[in-house]
Amino acid sequence: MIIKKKLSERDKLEYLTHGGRTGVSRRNFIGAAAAGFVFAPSVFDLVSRKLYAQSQECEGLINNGPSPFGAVIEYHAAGGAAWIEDFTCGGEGGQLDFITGEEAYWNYGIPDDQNYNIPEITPDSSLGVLVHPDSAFINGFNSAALPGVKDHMAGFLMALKSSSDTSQNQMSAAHIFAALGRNGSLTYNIGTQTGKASGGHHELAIGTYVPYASPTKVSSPTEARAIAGLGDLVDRLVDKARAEKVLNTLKNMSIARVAQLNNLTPDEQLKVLVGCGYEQATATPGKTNKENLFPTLPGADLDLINQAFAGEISTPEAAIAHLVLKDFAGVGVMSFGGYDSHDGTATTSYQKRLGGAQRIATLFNYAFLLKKKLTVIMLTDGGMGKVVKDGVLQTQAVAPSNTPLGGQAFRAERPGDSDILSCAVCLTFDPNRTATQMLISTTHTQVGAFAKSGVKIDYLNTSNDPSKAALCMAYNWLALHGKEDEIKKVNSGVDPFAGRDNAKYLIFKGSKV
Amino acid sequence: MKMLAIICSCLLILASACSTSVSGKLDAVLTNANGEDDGGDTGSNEENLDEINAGKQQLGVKSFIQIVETFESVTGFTRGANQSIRNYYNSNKAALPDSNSIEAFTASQRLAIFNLAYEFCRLPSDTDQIRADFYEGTIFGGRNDEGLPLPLGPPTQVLNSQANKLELINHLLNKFWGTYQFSDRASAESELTSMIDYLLSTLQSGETLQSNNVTKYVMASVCTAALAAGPVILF
Repeated sequence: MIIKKKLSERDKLEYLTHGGRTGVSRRNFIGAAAAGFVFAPSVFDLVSRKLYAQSQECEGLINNGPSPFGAVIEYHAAGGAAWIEDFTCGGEGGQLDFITGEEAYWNYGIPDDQNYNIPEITPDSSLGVLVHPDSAFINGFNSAALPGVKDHMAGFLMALKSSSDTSQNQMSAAHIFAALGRNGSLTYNIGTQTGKASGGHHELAIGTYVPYASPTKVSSPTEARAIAGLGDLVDRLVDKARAEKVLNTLKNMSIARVAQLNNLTPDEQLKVLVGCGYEQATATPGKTNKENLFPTLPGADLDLINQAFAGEISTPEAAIAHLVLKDFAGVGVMSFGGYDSHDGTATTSYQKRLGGAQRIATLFNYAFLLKKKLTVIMLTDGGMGKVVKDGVLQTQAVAPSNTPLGGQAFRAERPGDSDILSCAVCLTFDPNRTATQMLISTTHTQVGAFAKSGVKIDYLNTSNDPSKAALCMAYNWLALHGKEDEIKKVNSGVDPFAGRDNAKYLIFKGSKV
Repeated sequence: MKMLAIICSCLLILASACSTSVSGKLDAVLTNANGEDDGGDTGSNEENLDEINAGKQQLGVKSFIQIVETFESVTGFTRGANQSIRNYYNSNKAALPDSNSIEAFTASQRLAIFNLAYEFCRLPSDTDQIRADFYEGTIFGGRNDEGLPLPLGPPTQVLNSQANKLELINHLLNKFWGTYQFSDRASAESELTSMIDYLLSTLQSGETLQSNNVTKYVMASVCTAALAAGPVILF
């Protein structure tokens, strides 16, 4: 039973003036600011030191300019996408180390006469990571990708056990990228979902919370335009400089307020950061306008978006991609649900993944048209199981086959979830490189290993540890820039993948251009 | 019966053991999660308590609901009675701070607060009936003997002196910040006076100092800056 207490005036005043704040010890505050135990030295410290080095002015935060790192978008498929049906799952030897024997890929939803062990089936390598040629993912991607996009793509598959039907999987690396320096000129992270520090369906990997990377919600062009807009007042004041004057006044009054707390707040860094936030807010309208944040007027910018997204521009993917690829935001996170259809068919799950692949393809289309780097990380919770009756895998025709088999592609009916039959995927695009120039080896595109039963959870520590998996995604993203050593910054100064197994975790390499 | 009692005793002992074990594990998790001890039990350790009290974080930002309720409280305009405020808030609340964490207070959230403040401030600037009551007691509001709103004068009439400007500024600061004379109050008066002077000196095409439309947007600007400022939204 819930008992509602009528608030006294004193209670109300306390609420309005002090909110839900509770005293925080300096040690805990610094601990929080240090973004969890993983981050040492504190990113917060680093930023602040940089500020102090600049005589407490805010150059470092305001004029940060475009990030030197390529854009990142996380795609969270809620429910449990059966991507293992699409991406070629191999053993300890990698994607080409096919699982063998009878019923080899039943758990993956693929009948024996259509798996990789028959001569007619050769994995499709056009994405720079191997996929089944009759898969939902490649069919969806091909149907939406612009010509030329795949020429500059590479990727890898990660064997990753994750719990089914839950948003509690702590596998998002969204704040890790921010901590490593993927910042936007307006904000660090954006996401389609509220109430989650990641901005998406999944929780952040353990210990990776970075306060300043808390996401701003963006799930439509309207929200993209509002991310830094001055609303109607700027229209009314006509001149942008006049609007900035009003903001400047607001800033000065606010900073004066913060400065007044000098003798109460022991942490000078906090004061500087708060002040710099106001500086940044004041500088923001001068740097951009609503039309830059998402164009609506006819012109070249809008044409590009229409081309990339096939006219479907009022979508979360268009809004997120525009802000991230234009470097207004550092990292984008988008969530889509319903991947575990639970209707017992093969087709619903297939169609859902096909639609997701189309969405992801449009993200790369836009990167291609803008000639910008983009990495997309695909995460999901659990996978899907199968139905076997009288020793026979129950299948349905899902699509016309693209292979020499001809006829139809058949896949397993999907009755429910499976924790052990899951994976994560990283796809990347570089307008100036091909897959062979981004991959250490074109035959090494899998982290971890799969067996007939599913993920081999004891093979690599990324297989059963979402936090390590998140770090590994960031590790390879850094590697694309030749900076994989910087992973230490977010792991207490230690490279979590150093040692004799290092090569098993490292897929990408830097550019020598 | 005796057997049942024995089983119950065993279960109780087991439960107690489990409880101790879970508690111990939780302590371990907390210690590990912070990478250091988290402060622990300070009640019996005066030195430790002093250290923590000395380090209290004194700054927080109000959350989205606290902000809008504060704005409602100090302006008297509520979402329930004002559709424009309600619509704007419902559409944009996701852009406002979702926690009290000052460390997570981003520039875009500050702009979102600014825009929300403007939605509150445009009402008494643009609607004569509301202006009359909101600015009651100043040359910017009030009603005549018949209860009708007094007309709003142009800048040449109501913003033509330092005293008039301070009348507008102090009326708003008193409403939003309270009447206490904080040390930052004087600097706020100076900042807002400077802002008014700037706006009046940078008139745009078609604007004149003889137009009360200019007075209206100056009023809205002063109101917005004062309402969205740190003294209202930080604590």
